Amino acid sequence: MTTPHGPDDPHTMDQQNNPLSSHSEEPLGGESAEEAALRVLMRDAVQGLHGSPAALDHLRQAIPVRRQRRRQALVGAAAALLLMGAAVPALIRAAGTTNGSSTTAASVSASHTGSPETDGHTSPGGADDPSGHAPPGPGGDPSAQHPTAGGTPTAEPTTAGGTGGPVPDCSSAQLGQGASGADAPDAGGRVYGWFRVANVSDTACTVPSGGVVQALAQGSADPSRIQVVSHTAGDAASGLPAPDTAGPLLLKPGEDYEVAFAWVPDGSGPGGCPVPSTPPPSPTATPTATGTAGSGTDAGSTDANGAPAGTGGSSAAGDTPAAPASGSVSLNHTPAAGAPVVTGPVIKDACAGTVYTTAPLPATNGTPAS
Amino acid sequence: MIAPWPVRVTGDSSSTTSDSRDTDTAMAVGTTVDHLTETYRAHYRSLLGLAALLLDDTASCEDVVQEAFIRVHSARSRVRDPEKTLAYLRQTVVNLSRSALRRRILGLKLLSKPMPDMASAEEGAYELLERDQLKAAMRTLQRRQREVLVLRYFADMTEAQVADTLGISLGSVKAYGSRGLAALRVAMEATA
Repeated sequence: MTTPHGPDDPHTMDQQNNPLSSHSEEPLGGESAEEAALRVLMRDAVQGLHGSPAALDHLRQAIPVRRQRRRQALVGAAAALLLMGAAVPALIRAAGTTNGSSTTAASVSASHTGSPETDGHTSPGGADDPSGHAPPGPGGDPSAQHPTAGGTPTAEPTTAGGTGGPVPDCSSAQLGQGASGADAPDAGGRVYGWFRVANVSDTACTVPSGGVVQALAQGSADPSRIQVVSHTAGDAASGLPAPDTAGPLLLKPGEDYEVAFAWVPDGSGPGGCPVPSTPPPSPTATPTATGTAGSGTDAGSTDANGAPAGTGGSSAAGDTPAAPASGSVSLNHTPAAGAPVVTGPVIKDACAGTVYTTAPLPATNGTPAS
Repeated sequence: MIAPWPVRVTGDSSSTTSDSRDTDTAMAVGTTVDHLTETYRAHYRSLLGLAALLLDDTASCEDVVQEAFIRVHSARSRVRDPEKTLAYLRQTVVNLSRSALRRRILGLKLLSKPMPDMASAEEGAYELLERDQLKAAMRTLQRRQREVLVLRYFADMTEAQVADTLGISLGSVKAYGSRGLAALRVAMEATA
């Protein structure tokens, strides 16, 4: 039953006696007048409440982040299961075949099962659901890298075992010839680009689901304000292809897959940088950031572009010999654990923002965006 | 700073998209986002009211509703059936309104980016609510009594729906309801 409340406000109602008691003498049949009065009172009490203006925007941001956290927890658990599934038969086989080497082989595979198991236990338990749903949790970044570790060992038994089964995940050795590119920033400072990786083996495989895009802060860029998230429809990276719902991507020998990305700077200034360029690099800067700064002061090497900085982090992308005051963000892509890292473009004059990445997409033509 | 790309769950998001694909092809893939806007417009205010009536500290009711929206919408299985979204949202708001759980949201909130000037925007309305006679009387009720009354008379649920939401029997709903009404009557007379 809906009780429309008239133009009179709750205060006039309060002033006439107590609406609950004043009607309570009436007979209780079906719904009493007291109950009806309570409906009106409750409605009037909260009548003035409105959501804050930023509420919907906040939800739009927070939901993909939470979803990703849940996903990471799930992926971590799945990886632990996969690894168990791969390691247990191996352990049995190793223990059963040769007596001489059985102890070493068994202990090796046993030690493999150990680490993901602890991982699987730690990842759930953060933000779980009060109504008894499967507990998601801050899975943490490390868990995101486990599926490839799990995928690789399982791939090998499948290829050895049967030919009719599903195509195994690409192993790290099967993926190579990485390339990347990026467009010039658009009016809003957004930079769109892509990574491309080929199946360099002569057997078909599916793109593993554990590939990673990493963003590294350099110079005055703030590592704590740079995040990498999955692209979802309706987010700020409107120029990315819409996430599709096809199954895992199958790569025939020689075929490429692509991961498109978009850099969207924070709104605080150009490239997400604070407007006065005074802030020093934060003391918690990543080793890569300090490595680049070091190569900048090494005045001896004035190579124009992308000379590997020997002292920098192993995954450091192209150097930025620019002034150390300006920040930049370098991107790279690891297709699978152990596969060669694909060095991506460096986004200049960037301090804070979000990198949106797509799932692996089939490379449509030889020369995508330039 | 590191993120995997979306793990594709085959058949999951495609089932949600099929409903409204004809309405807008550009947004077809993101119907969950559409669904969010829709749910927000339809239910956000009433859920704020629900939280405000359940909570002792009205200042955190928007936090509670936000958290409920985030939890329900980040679980794809929950938004697959739009009919049930409101039920899930209400249930989550009721659960989060219990103080033990609310403390955990506060913890979560410190970790994530705080919502800009959330409390200040509506201080006037919340202050008004604090002085409301009914709200003061509600505060004297037992938690269960309050939950039953609010769900029954504010959220317009049937007794069976209340029983389902709170996970208690129909008989308990009736008992809490009638005792709650009686207690509320006494409290209102005392403050009148």
